[in-house]
Amino acid sequence: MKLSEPDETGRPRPVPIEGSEFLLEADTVVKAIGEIPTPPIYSGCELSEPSGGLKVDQNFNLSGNIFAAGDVVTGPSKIGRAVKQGLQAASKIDELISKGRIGR
Amino acid sequence: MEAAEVCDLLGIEVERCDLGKLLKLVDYMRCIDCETCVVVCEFTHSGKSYVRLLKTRSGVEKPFSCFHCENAPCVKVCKRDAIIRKEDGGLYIIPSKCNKCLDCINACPFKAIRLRGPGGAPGKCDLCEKLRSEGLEPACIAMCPSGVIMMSK
Repeated sequence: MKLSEPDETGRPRPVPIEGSEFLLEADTVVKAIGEIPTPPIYSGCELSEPSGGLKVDQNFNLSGNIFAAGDVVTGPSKIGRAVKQGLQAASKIDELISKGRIGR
Repeated sequence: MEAAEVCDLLGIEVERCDLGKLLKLVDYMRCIDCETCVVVCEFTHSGKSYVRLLKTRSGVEKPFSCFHCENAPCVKVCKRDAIIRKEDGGLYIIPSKCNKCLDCINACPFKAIRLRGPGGAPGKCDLCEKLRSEGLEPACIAMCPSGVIMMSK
């Protein structure tokens, strides 16, 4: 792919280069595309860490009734670690809904 | 997964495999080393994971847990017959029969039995007996993103 000349909106579009594509045989494809957290809040506000992740307390609570867990908090990591935080956060949310509060 | 498919994967003739017996296996070639099985096991067994990551010779960590072996060293070594095979084909530790001699922990080649399981006896993978009684799959099988942990019915 290459970028075309900018169109009327000023955005260059990717255009395929003729004959540049090729097929590669593979048994397994592991996607390692360097994901970074893109939380739906602007960076630099008090809810995010300097590293870009969200700042949550030990109950995975961000603020009010908003919870966050996984890569958006820790940054890129193994799936399992994100799953662990997701499970723990889900049990905290369950506690909040069923008991009206988290903790004792 | 049907037992016949498992046999096919392992290269065992179906006739030689005791159909109906429980068989758990992990396709290590397709395992992506993500630790999901470890954390879901920890979550479903009140903070104790019976899946252990062992470093292989090539340097990557792969999950090992009780395979419910047909010829199980832990069963042979147990003097109290506290490890029994139930009707579903799985091996289970009966805490009330166990005298906590820990011989089974040493006997298991996969280091799949760990200290302080239910009732103070050694604990190991119970294939999520509680989840299965509710008609669900064992947690590691249900959650594995690569679908590499399999169990014959």
